[in-house]
Amino acid sequence: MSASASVLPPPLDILTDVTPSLPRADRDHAARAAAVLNGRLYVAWLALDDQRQRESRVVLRYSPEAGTWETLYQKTLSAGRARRKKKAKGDKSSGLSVAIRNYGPNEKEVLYVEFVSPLGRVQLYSAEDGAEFRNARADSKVLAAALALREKLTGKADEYALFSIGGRNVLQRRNLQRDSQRWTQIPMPSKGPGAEPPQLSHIASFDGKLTIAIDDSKEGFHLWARNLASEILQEWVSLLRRGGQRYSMNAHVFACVPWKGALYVVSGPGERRSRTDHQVGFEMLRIYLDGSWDLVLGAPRVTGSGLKVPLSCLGPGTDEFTPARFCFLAEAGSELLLGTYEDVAGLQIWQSEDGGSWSVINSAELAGLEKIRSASAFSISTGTALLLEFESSLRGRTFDIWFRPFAKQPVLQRTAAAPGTSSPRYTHAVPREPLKNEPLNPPE
Amino acid sequence: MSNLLIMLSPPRSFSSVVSTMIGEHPDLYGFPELHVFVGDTVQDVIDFERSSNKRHTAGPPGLLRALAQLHDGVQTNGAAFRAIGWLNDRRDWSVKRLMDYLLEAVSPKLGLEKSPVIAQKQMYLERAYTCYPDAYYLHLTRHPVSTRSSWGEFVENKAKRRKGEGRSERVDRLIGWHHMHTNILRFTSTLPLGQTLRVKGEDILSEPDVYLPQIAEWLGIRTDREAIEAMKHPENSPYARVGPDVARGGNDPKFMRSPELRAGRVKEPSLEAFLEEKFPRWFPAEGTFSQAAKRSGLKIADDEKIAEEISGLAHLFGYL
Repeated sequence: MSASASVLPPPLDILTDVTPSLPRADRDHAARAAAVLNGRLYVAWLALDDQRQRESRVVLRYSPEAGTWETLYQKTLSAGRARRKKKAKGDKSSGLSVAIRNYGPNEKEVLYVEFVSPLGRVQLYSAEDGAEFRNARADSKVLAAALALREKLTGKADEYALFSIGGRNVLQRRNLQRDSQRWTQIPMPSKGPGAEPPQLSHIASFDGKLTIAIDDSKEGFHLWARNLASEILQEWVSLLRRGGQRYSMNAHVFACVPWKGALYVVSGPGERRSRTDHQVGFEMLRIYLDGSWDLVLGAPRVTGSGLKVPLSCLGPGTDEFTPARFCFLAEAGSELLLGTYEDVAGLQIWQSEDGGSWSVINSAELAGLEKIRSASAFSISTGTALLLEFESSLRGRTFDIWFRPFAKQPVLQRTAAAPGTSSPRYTHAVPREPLKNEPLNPPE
Repeated sequence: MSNLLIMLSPPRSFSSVVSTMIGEHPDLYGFPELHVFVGDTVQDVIDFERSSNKRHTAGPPGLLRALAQLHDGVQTNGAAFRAIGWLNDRRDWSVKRLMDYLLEAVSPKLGLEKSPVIAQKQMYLERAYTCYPDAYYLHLTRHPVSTRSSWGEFVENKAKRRKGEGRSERVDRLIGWHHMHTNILRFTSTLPLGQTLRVKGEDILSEPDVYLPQIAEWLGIRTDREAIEAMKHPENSPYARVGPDVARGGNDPKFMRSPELRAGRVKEPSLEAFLEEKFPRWFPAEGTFSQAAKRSGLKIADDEKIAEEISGLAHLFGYL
């Protein structure tokens, strides 16, 4: 080892595997979903045995401070019992699905959970402290609204929510002080009479403004904004048009994350791919409230507001030969985290402290995961939890949960060498104690 | 980077006016259509030109005009004849050697070559890249409906002049538009970040003060007012007029007759409305292509599918 290498600080664990220990049958081939309540991560999953005769339903809660999981709900159901119950309810599904939503005004948020399997449908709701789950037999309207919820954000007096109704996203508002149960629909900006209804994809609260993203497969996405707090029905103000002039290659918005006075938008052409769809990878744009914007990651281009070149020096899809797939973008305190997946590079977690320059912070174990199907990030009280669903040649379809604490006291830390150099790069990260992974009791 | 900028586009895409505008930047030299990448040697280029136009027996008019201009400083018949002789003596040169010679002659300026013909085949594009892997590649687009209309008008006029009437039963020109842009996209998608840029011809012509400085910035050349103002005067190019009799051409005839930049917004028609009003016969049943496909047992895609593909590509370029 060279003298220079010997003085380097030892590498720190940047991401820790905190996957709850469960019997393999319950963890693999199961449906799962996650949500956050009071800064804690809740994971619900549903597993069916190979003979489709017995299902397990579990809700767990992760406490990042202690690094422990606790079981809040655990039930098993046999096919015989399910048949007797289903006669009454008539619910049936050929597959497994789990939904968990945080619904309710901020001061009294409640989690709603729905398990659907060939053996039946079970709906639960939590107590306000999230420590206990009960069957949700009554109040079906609230439950339906909760399960239709896609995104929500809260202003001083109002709450805005994006609901999926009949396959289309709808923006609604309720006044938290006057009538917290009554949602009213907010009219969307329209292209004119006779135009198709806009495809609303995301909402974000951005510098006192309500920002909406509208997908458009022909023209590219549009961003619109209006005052968040205003009672008066206002006109929408156009923030960015035509997918930042990447047109239909930025038809869909995948994520909208406000961070440090700007809105970070991840967009791309969606699932459609043909031989003419070159550079099909996703892009990331940084938008300011005055409508000016930067290209963070994507294809250089001429635009109505000047030449745009990517601040990160990364092309669409993080410049991989086969463009990487976007997995998530999450605000994590003083940093932004971006998750991408590509068949050769695998899952990559990118980190940025200024939103412009990005570096990969993967740990070796994370990069070794096979065929990531989906990856989501959840901001919890002391860090970011990543829910990764993947296929393993040994374990089949399964999932992992990883945790990254918020950076507080930066220290020099070694990461991968910069492209084209042999020297390691140094970034700032916070030292921390590794979190313990408490095993769970197996279900009965 | 290289000392060459190659503009890629199908014919009738504003390429003459836009390339001449860009070529008027003080740090650039805009050539007329050289057609050099259609073959490996000068002999190949001459043969290609003769096969595509019987009047062009001595080589591409644009190439002859460029040689005349660079050798003699004028484009007279005498200078063009001398260029023909010069080129004839170098039939064994590779096209790379010829292009290097031209670039050397205009050095230290950056040379700008635009020949829509190279978008016809992937092979021509690959040859350009093999010769100039560091060149800048500018992809120019125009609305498919106006390209089709302009292309049709050009071909019909040309045919009328020669035979008295236009040719019919051709593959629709929107297919050509799609084919050439697809070739360009396949090629440019393999280039490193920043080596290629796509721009709408309508944007440059409608808002030159917005878009020309961006192209200059991309090329790393001057973006000051004087430089941009020079770009707004394509009529100052020595190739912005019809050439001498022995080398007539090298640019769009319409442009050469009236090379000034016109003020105002270039209108973009609606592709959707066009397809609703006049759904083209993409491949006429009695046409050569359809007959060849029939003989080969190949099935041509459904008309609706073809329209969808063309619309998809148009949307990608920002045309509705």
